[in-house]
This record gives sequence, C-alpha cells and structure tokens, in this order.
Amino acid sequence: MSDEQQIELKTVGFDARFPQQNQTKHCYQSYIDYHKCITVKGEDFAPCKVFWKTYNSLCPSAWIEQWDDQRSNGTFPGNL
Amino acid sequence: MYFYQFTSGHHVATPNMEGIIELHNNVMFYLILILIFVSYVLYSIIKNDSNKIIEFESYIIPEDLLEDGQLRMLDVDASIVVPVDTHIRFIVSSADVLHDFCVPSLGIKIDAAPGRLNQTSALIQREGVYYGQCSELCGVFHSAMPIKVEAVSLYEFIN
Repeated sequence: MSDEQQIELKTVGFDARFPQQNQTKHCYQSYIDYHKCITVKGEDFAPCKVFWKTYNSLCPSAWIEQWDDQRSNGTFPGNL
Repeated sequence: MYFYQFTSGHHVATPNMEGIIELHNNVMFYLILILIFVSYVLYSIIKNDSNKIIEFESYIIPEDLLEDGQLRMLDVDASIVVPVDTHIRFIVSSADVLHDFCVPSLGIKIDAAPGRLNQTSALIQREGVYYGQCSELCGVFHSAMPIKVEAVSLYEFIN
C-alpha cells in the first residue's frame, strides 16, 4: 500500500446515500456540491476538495467537460 | 449472602462467583481476539485511485497485425493495468448504446448503459492477464470489443 515513495492508493469511500450499483446520482451530486461549496466558501477551502476528488473519480471525463461547458454557458441543468 | 472484599481485590471465594469470574474472563478474551481480527480485515480494505486521471482508448488488434502468440479477437492495443491484491472500483458506462463489460475469470459482468454509472468492485489475487468480451449486442462490431485486464504487482503499477 505505501512504499518508500509514500504513495497511497485510495478512492472514494462508501457513501450511504448511494449504496447500490447505480452511482449516477453520486457523481452528479458531488459535482454540484463542489461548485456550491466553492461559491460559498471560496476555492481555497480544503474540505471542498473532497467533493472534487469524488466527482473526478466517479464521473466520466466527457460528462465533466460537458458540464463545465454548460456552466460557462449558463445552461447547466441544476441548482448551483 | 454477603460478599467479603479482601484487600487483594479478589472479591469472593464462593465457587459460584469464581465460576462467573472465569466465564467473564474467557468471554472477554475471545471477544477481544475477534475484534482484533475484524479490525485487521477492515483496515486492509483499500480501493484503487490516483490523483492523476489516465484516459486511453483500447482497440482490438486486427488479424493481419497480430504478432506470434497473440490471441485473435481477444488481444487489444491498450490493456487495463491494475495492481494485484488491491480492491478496485469499476465504474462502467457507455457513450452510445448498451454494452456489457464482462471478464468471466474475475467474475465481472456489468452492463454499460448510456447515461448511467454502474459500479462494481474486484480484488485480483493473481498476477496475469484476464480476457473478456462485450456481452450485450451493440451493433455490427459487437464481436470485436474485447477487454484485457492485466494485473501487475503494486511496484510495477506505480512505476
């Protein structure tokens, strides 16, 4: 698990809100939560990083790019 | 029945009480032993991730480009490399139609649906190469969508 290089392999832990096989909402929810978090707390607030790691782990990069484009256009389908 | 408290801390000397004390000590011993094993097992569960996102596309090797020893309809140009003895989370989805991510030797068969993220996990205990094929009819090239999972040691994986 940790060599001399101190590399730790870890991923998003179990989230009781999404216990089953379908993790679509988990990905979507953490994307929204991250952006709400940085809006309220600012980009340097460290606990927001948890949401960032979650959605980067779970979501396909195509989805993330599409959502980023939608956000800059103002057409993102969700409350941010 | 009164219990006399001696200065040594041993409360009573009746056979009943001694038996109860012994039972209590035994139970506590085994309970703690079991708890130690359980916490060891829980601690050794980790999952696979890295701060870098690796993105790649993997295509089947056409027959005329096969080298000696490669498997027809199974070998790909970019295999999925994972470390052994590490819990791995697979998130499977699709960009166009329904597919199925199937690697029978790892006991994985998970549908890939567009707009949906399906999650499964695996723990590969042996190094080696594991093949699989798409298991959901997805068009003309459904038979030409193999999967190749390569399990390597943790050291090799990191480097």
